[in-house]
Amino acid sequence: MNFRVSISLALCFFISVANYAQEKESTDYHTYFEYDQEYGLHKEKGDFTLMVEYNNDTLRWRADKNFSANVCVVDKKTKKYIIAKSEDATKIFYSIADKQLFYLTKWETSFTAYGLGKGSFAVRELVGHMIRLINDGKTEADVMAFLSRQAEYDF
Amino acid sequence: MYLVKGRCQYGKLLLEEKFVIKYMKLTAVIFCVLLSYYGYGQGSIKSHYTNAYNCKQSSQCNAYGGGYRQDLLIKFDDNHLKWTKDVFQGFTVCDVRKRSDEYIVALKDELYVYADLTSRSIFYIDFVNDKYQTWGYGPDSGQVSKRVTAMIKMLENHATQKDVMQFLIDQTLEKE
Repeated sequence: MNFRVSISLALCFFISVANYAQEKESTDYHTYFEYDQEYGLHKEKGDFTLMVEYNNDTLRWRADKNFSANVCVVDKKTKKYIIAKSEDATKIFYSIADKQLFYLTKWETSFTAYGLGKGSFAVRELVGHMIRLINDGKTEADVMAFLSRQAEYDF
Repeated sequence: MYLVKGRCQYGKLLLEEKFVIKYMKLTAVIFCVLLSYYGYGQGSIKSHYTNAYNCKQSSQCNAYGGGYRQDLLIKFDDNHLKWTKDVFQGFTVCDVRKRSDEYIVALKDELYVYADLTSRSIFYIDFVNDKYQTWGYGPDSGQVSKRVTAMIKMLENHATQKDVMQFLIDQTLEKE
């Protein structure tokens, strides 16, 4: 009986550890994209490192080593991507497969899409699509759905 | 006496069996080493084309080439897709992102390249002066020009490069 209890406890412990296992990733990149509805595309060049830590509940990220960390609550997590929400309700999209992070902010009536991470052409392409969707009257949720579909491709 | 002899024969058999197992294990290891060294599923395809098909975003599609038969060579392994439309210019080397028996999706400088192994054709996306271009080479001119046109239409209608690659995969598998 005792043996069974200890086996069950050990199993529960391993399951909880596996579920809450913290993943840590850092990705070097050279361009940070900002696409404003009003002012268009702006890019910041340099040597940056995107640092991301996540488990099933929290996503912590910083755009570079010297930047402060942003802590977000995970809304949805799959093997390929994470959708999380920051304290100010900004939706964050992190593509685990492509090592790219995107988010949208709204200032008064204008949206700005941000993109950073591996592959500057792909990030620029997706940031452009994010703003195009907003210009077409789509919502933030539609933008997240679009990014999810892109992250689902296995190439 | 018989018992001792029997035991000896049994021991000899065991030794022989152990030797065979060891030999088989060694063969398996050598096979694995050779397989990883030379790459699993390495291949090459010799194809041809008469015209290169090109479409420019917000512009038109054109066929380039003298209309005469030219070689198109495609080589691949698990990591690289190498292709050339002119051996004297050398091979374009791309990183493989997805591979099956029917097709290869690869990346060259963040732009996608697609090899249709069933129709022995190459398609790729280029980005020049802030505008997309699509290119195609292969023996079936009708199919190549049709796909290159469809690719640019998709990009003009706000598809991503990945969407275009998925379209080409679907086309290849549909034809199969």
